[in-house]
Amino acid sequence: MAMRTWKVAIIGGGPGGLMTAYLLEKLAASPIDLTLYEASHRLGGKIKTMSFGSTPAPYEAGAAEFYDYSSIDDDPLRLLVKELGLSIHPMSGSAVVMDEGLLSNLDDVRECLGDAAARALVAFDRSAQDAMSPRDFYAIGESYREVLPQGLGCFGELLEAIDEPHAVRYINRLIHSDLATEPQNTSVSYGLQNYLMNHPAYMRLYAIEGGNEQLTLALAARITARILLQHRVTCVSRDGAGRLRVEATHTDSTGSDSFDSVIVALPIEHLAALHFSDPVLAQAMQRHLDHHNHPAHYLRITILFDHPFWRPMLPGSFFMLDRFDGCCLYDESSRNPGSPHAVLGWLIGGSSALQFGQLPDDELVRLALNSLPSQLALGRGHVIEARVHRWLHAVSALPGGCTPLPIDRRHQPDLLHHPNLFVVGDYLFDSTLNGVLDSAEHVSGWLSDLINAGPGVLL
Amino acid sequence: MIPNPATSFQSDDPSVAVPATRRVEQILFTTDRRDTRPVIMSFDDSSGSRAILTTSDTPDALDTAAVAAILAGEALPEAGRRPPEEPHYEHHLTLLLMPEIDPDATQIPSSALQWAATNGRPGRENLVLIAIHGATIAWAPGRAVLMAHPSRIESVRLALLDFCFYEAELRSIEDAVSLGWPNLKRDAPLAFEFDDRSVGRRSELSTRFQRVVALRCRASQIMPHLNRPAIHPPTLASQIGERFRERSRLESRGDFVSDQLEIQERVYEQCGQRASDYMIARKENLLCWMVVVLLGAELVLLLVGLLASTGV
Repeated sequence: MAMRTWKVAIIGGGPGGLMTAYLLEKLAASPIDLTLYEASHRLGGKIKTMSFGSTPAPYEAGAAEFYDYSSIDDDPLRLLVKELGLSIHPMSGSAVVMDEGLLSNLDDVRECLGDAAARALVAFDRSAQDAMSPRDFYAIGESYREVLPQGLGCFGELLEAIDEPHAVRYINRLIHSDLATEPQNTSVSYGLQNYLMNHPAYMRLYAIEGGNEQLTLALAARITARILLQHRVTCVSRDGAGRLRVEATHTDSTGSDSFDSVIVALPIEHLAALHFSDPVLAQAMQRHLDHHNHPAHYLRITILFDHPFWRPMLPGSFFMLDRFDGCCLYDESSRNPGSPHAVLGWLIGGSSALQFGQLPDDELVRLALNSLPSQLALGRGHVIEARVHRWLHAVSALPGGCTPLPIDRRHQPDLLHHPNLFVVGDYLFDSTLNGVLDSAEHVSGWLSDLINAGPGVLL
Repeated sequence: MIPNPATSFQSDDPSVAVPATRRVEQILFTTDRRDTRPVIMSFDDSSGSRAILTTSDTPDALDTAAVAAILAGEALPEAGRRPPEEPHYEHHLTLLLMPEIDPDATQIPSSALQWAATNGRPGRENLVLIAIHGATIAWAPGRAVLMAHPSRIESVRLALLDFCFYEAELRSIEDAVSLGWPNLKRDAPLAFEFDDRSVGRRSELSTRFQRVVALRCRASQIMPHLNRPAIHPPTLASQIGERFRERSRLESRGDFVSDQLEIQERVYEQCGQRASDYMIARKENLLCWMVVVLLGAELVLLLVGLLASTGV
C-alpha cells in the first residue's frame, strides 16, 4: 500500500504562483508533488526590489506598496506578512502638486483653486463616501462583486457630473497613477475605490522593510515545490489518462510532464501567449481572456540624486504631480528610515504610460526631471543615476471584467471538461496584491479540499 | 458626537482672533462657568470645559516685552504674565504666536524652542516639534510656539488648543493613577481578607473607590477625542491635530491608562465587596448572639417558672 501523491503544476512564479504554492502546501493534508514553472530567471513577478549600480540604494521597480484593510476587518495579506515574520513601514502622503502650487490639504485647495473647487471636492468626497462605505470597500476587495447599482456607466461620467473643472482635474490627478487607466475606461466602483483609498478610514498603505520583494523571497524560501526557473510553458494539453500535460522550453530544449491539476498564475498578457491544444479548453480560455482583458499600464522612472532636495517641501512617502496626466512620486529612500540615499520614483499610469513607454530611457529621464515643479528645479543638477521599468499591459483596468462572474467561474474557465485546470490572478479581484492573495486562497482552498477528500491512499 | 475639526475649529468669540503681530497668550482650560473672560473655544466632552484667554485680547507693550524676552532667551516678565490663582483652574498653556508671511521662514528661533522645552519636569517631558505644510509648532506640556501664515494661524491655534486640552486631561489622569499605586499596594490584601482591624478603613477605601471611578469616567469621556478618526479631505488644522495625537501617542496612552484604571477599580470593587460582606456577617453574628441570649433568658425564666410551680 502506498500513499498517493497529488501532482500539481503552477505556471508562473509571481506573487500569485508563490502564494498559491505556499497556501496549498499549508492546507493539503496529503503529500503533494508541486512543480512551479517560471519563464524568467527570477521569482516575484511584479514585486521587484532593485538597487542602483553606482551605489546600493534600493528602490521598488514594481509594486510600490501594500494595502492595509485591517482597520475594517481581517486582512489576509497583512496576516500573511506577519506570519512570514516581515516588518512593515507605514506610508503616507496627501500632497498634490498642481500648476506649480502645492496642495496638501483643503485650505491649499481653497487658496489655489478657489472656493468653488474646494466645495465641489468636499461634495464629491461626501457622495463617494455615501456611495461606498468602508465595509463596501472591504467587500469589493474581498470578493470583487459590484456593490453599487448596475447601469451607473463609467467613472468618467461620474466625474463629468462635477461642474467645477478644477475639482475634476484635482481628482483626476490624485487617482490617475493608481487607476492606471483613464476614468472613461473603468467602472464607477473601481474609480471610487481608487479615490477612497486616500481616505484613512478605508485603508492605509505600507511597505515591507528591506524591500517589498522580501515577501516573495520569504514565500519562496518556505515552499518545498520544485522551482524551474527559465522554463517557459508553451502548451497545456490533456494526456491519455485525463491528466494535464504541461510543455515547457528551457534554453533550447522542450520537455513535458503530466499533472493531476494545473494552476495558471500568469498576468493576463502572458496568459494570452499560452497555447491550449484541446479545442474546448482553448475556447474556454479565450472566453476567459475576452472577459478579463482590459489592459492598464504602468511606467516607472527612478532617479538617484546626491541629496533629498525635495524633503523640506514635500515630507511623506509620496506626493502626486500633475504631469504625465497625473503621476505619483515616491520618496523611495523614505522606505528605509535613516537611509543615506536620495531616490525619487515616478509612477506613471494609464495611456500616458503606454505613450511615454515607447520613448528611450534617456528621454524619459529628461522628461521626468523636467516635470519637477520649479521649486524643486534645483534637483535637476544632482542626478547620479536613473533607471526605467515598463509595466505595459501588466494590470487590469476593469478587474473582474465588465460584469464580475461568480468567484468559482472566474477561477475555473472550463469546469465541465477541465475541472483540474485553475487560474489565479489579481485581475480576477481588484488588481492589487491583496486581490491576488484572495485569488490564491480561493484556488488553494478549493484544490486542498479536493486533495484532502480524495483517495489519499493508492492501493 | 465628535465635532469635525474642519468645521468646528472656529473661535467662540470673534474678538479673540489671532492678531497680526507676535504675541504671548496665557490660556486657561477651565470648567468654571462663572469666568467671564473671552472664551476661545469650548470642548464637547461632557465636562463643559472651555479655553479662556486670561491675558488681554489686544497686543500691548507687555506683549512686546514678553515676545522679546522669549526670543532673547530670557525669563518671561512676571507682571501680568501669570494668571491669578484660580480656585477652579485645571490646566494652563502659555502660547507664543508668530504670524509669518514669508513662506521660507519656517524655523522657530532656537531661544523660543528652548523656552518651550524648559517648562516640563526634567527628564520626563520632551519637546514635540512639527513642521508641516508651512506651519511650524513646538509644544511641551504647558508651553507652545506656533509659527504660520497669518491666514492659517487661527485655525492652527484652535487645533493646537484642542490637542493641548485633551493631552493635559490625559496627563492629569495618568498622574492621578500613578499616585494611586502605593495606596493600592497597601489596600490590595483587603480585597481578599477583611477583618475587625480593617473596619476603620472603610471610609478611606470608599473614598479611593470613588476617586478611581471618577477618573475612569473622565478617561472614558475623553477617549473618543483621543481616538478621533482622521478626516478627509484633510485641512491643515486636522493634519496638525493628527500629527500631534500621533507623536504624543495619545491613543495608546489612553488605552494604557484605561487598563491601569481597570486594575485599580477591580481591586477597590473587591475591597468594597469584602467590607460589605464582613459588615453583614458581623451584624448577622451579633443577631445570632442576641437570639442566643434571648433564648437563654427565656430558658432561665422557664426554669424559674417551673421550679416555682413545683413549690421548690
